[in-house]
Amino acid sequence: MDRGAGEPFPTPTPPADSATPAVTETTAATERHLIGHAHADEVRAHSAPRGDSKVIATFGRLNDQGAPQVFLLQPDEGDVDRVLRKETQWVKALLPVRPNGTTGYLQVRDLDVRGTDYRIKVERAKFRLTLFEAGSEVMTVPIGIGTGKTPTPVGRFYLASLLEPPEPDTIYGSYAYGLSGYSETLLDWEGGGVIGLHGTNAPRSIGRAASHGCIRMRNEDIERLVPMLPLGTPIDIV
Amino acid sequence: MKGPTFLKLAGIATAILMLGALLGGATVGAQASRTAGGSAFGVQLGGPVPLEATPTVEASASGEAEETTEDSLVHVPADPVAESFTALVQAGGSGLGTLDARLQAVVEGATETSTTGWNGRGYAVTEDLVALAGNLEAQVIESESLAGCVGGQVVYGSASRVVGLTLGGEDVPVPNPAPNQTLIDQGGIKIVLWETNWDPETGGTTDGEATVWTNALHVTAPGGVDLIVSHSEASADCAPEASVPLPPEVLDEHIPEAPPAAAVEEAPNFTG
Repeated sequence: MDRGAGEPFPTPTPPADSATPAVTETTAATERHLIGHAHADEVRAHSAPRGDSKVIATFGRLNDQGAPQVFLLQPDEGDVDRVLRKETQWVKALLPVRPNGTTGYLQVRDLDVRGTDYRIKVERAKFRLTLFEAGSEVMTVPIGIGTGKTPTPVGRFYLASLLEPPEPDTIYGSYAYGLSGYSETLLDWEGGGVIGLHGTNAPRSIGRAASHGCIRMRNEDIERLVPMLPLGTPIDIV
Repeated sequence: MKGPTFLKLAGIATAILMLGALLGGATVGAQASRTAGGSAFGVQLGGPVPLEATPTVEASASGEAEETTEDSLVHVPADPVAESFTALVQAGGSGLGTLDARLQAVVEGATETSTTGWNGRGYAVTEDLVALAGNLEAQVIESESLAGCVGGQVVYGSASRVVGLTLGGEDVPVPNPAPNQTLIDQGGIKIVLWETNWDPETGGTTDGEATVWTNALHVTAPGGVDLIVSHSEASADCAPEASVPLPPEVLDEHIPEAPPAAAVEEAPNFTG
């Protein structure tokens, strides 16, 4: 009689953690955001805080732009001190991968954790960018955004890289931040379709929806941000 | 061993009442706090049945657990949780029904990770079961209970399998196994397969308990006879420990400030 011994016991598959991206603006009087810098040669982002859960993505110490790999951490409320003390093994983080808003769990031991009080808010309808420090508005500047066909995506992202173009007289201006987010319409763009926050050699595009999704600023405005903002600074686009 | 067909329930009832041996499985305790674990036993016979035979139980526990033997039961303490053990359970005697089974049970507990993908797991398999004076036989009877933490909440799982089940010498097919499937409920005799408090719809427990349990086979009969074969349990404590938050000023000092980004001299390839 078939004992079924050759068939594995039908152990149920454990449910995956359905991490949903949090796209909410923080309006607390004091804001502190945690940034995880990859200091391990390989950082794996898991779908759940378990070592045997699915690996969403794997990162190195540097990202594709040659910048240090960072993540905007999203620890549960009350867990910040446990993350800082490395008393918890896992921390949830926003990942610089498609689709926008993807989160995953990183091992705290693979990260150097830093903090920043800065946060950027982009209001597309008002063509306006505001910089907050510890919840207080410190700077408001005009911007250009993506067209209707190539819109600037909405959501919470973070500054993932900072590039200084060898030639300043390009559409990217004097500096260009690469965000953690991607165009949701340009799927075959060389380089992956990373959304940028950058200067411009076309100041007339400021105040208009004329880009391929990037957020354009006047060169003098982005040159004010560069000495202040660390990689990992959150940017909320509404 | 041939006997009455399973449809002749009076005969089975008689065999049950004649059964005089209490045969133990091996019982393993479960979790510690803020952790997860499971428990399992192979065979348990309850009811007003006197113990008239001394079963032979052999068991060994791996890991740091130490097993103790008490009467017919093998206990392994919960903390630390045993990884696996095997117990051979046999008992018999003249005038008694017999109950033979080979038990293997595995319990696992983990706070963060588990090789099975669950935090807590109890598993039991009983093989070559001959019970109720031979009127109940099965080749493989397995159950598994699972508990895991997802997003800080506990979720449960359950599974069960019975292979080669015969009643009164007749094969009993189980074509569509489902939780809490009643095979027989006649004449005061009830046989339930995959008895569990697991709720497949919600992933929780039907009784709101924090422990999920599974009985692969459960037989009840007049006279208070209560036979359970391959029982497993699992639980998990998913709530994070309450931590005393650092005062804001201490917290700020404790978090190293991220320095401004250093620019990489390179032509961007952003969408522009």
